[in-house]
Amino acid sequence: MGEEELRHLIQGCVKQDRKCQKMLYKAFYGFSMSICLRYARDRDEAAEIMNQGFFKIFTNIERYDPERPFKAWLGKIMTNASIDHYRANLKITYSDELEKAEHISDREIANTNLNYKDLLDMVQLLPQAYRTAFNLFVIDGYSHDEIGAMLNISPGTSKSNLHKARQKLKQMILDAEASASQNKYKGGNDYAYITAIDKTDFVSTIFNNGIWK
Amino acid sequence: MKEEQDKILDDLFKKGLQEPIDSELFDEAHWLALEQMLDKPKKKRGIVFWLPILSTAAVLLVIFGLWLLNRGPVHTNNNKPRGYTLTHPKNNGVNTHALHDATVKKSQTQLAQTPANALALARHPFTGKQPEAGSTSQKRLISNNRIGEQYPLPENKMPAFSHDTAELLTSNQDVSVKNGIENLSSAGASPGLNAIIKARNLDGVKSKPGSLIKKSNQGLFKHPVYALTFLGGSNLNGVNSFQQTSTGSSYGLLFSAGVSNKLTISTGASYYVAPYNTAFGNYHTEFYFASEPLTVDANCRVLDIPVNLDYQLYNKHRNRFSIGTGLSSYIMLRENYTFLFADNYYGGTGAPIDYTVKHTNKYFFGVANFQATYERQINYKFGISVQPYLKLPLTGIGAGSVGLQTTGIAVGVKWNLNSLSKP
Repeated sequence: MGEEELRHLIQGCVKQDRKCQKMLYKAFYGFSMSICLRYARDRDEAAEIMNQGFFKIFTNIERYDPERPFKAWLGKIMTNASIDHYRANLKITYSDELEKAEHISDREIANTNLNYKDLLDMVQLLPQAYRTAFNLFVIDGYSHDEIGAMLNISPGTSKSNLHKARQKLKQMILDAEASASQNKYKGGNDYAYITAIDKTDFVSTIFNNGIWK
Repeated sequence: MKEEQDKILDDLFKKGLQEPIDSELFDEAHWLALEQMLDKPKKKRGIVFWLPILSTAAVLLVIFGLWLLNRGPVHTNNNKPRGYTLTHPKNNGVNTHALHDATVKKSQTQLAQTPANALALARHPFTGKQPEAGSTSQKRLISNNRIGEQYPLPENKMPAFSHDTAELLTSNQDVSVKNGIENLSSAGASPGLNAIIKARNLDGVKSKPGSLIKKSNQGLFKHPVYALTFLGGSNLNGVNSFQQTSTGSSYGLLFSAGVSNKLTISTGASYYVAPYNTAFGNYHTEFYFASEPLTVDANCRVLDIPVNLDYQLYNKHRNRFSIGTGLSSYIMLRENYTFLFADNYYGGTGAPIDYTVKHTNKYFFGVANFQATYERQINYKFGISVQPYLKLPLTGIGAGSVGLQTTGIAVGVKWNLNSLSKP
């Protein structure tokens, strides 16, 4: 999208023109969705967060400073919407999802061929508190002090959540590597049974037993 | 070793996820959900719009009330109701309080120059007798002329503001009159007048009712942030100064509404235990003491109903600092006074040693509040606050009408009510 076209759309949004709002929404749908997907459990939750973010954008569009890049402003709002969503759902998810640190294999992570979809799936499998800390620290570059202030937790809790997130992700990567190597040496039995499984069952299986036990 | 592994893991996810790919396909259902959200809050906006306006109006009313109380005698006119627009049918002139200052001099000159007035000043309009200097009729005459009329009108024939009056207003094409109306209109002095001007579409007269409000709504107001604060603390009470103080306590519940990023309006109720000791000279009573007491020990129980406006100076991380001012209404629940005499002499002939008053005295907006508030957010719902404050009386407080000053520190727990609803 060209600068001029973007400026025209923003002006339309300031006037609360629904057509311009839809065009802007459509133009930045992919970008916004991929930010929210990192913070969300699944696509539906990501869409909910993204719409909260766009709602803020459309109701506060007059506050946008045209001197700043619009995409960065939008990205920041999406991150904030994700944090707001985390706060709003904290009571529900905290007790359900947080687990004690598990024993992690001593094996090291080798070069992997995990793509965007694989990595996103792994992040989404993390409990919300771990996922949020991991996203804010590793991807978005916030410090533990800043994360603590944003999430109303202590910097120590932020560090702990990040540590646990890393442990879980490492385990998932190792499991994925093991799965890939198993598939390579099936000697003519190179097929898998496809069954409908619930994601939460899948997660607990990985965490508790490992996928091949 | 462990740090290296963490770095490898972080880099893997950072490279893989930091640059989001725009491959997510647009889903029309998501847009429809957002459209519903955008349509919904229109109903709520009315509340958002009116709450700060009503709150501001309440504060302005208080200020206006104080201004009326403190107004000098020059502006006092007890013969007429305040706030109407006055028009004399003969000269089609428009005179209002808003135009008062501009027309006083002219009217006074006319008063001296007009023969009718000179006659009226010389003789009573009905008896034909020359009035005494400073008589009621003369005062009324001067009073009527002072607000711009050329001829005195009896009170019962005083034209009230009506549509007929508006007819005269709208038919008058005099520029000065238009300017006067425009001034009134822009000042928002008379909504009824605004409506009529708008309906008549006067040439050159542009009234923009609500334009100021609209402007404010865009930049200043936001969705109000509501909170309840339970405050408790101790205070020092003194009369006219804090040289001699007694310690009391206070407990209260405040409701606050953050009407903008910086401004918060709060009100509620606090129960004060306000003991003080003062020299008898500061205590005003009509009771005659055979021998005057030396000092008075007082113990008052006061219900304080404040209306405060706070301005936020600092807000970073979890810490906020604000300063504020406002007015308090004191409802005296119980006042207990003990009079102390020299050498245990209790006044001889039946003078009271103790004097108790219950539920008698009330002082609406009789105390000025000044406070500074430090607040630290504990979590999304709760915060704690420390609030040093000063209360200065604008009127005499209690049965002795003393200048009761109070200062103290209140510690509070704030409950953010907005956390009850999803953002």
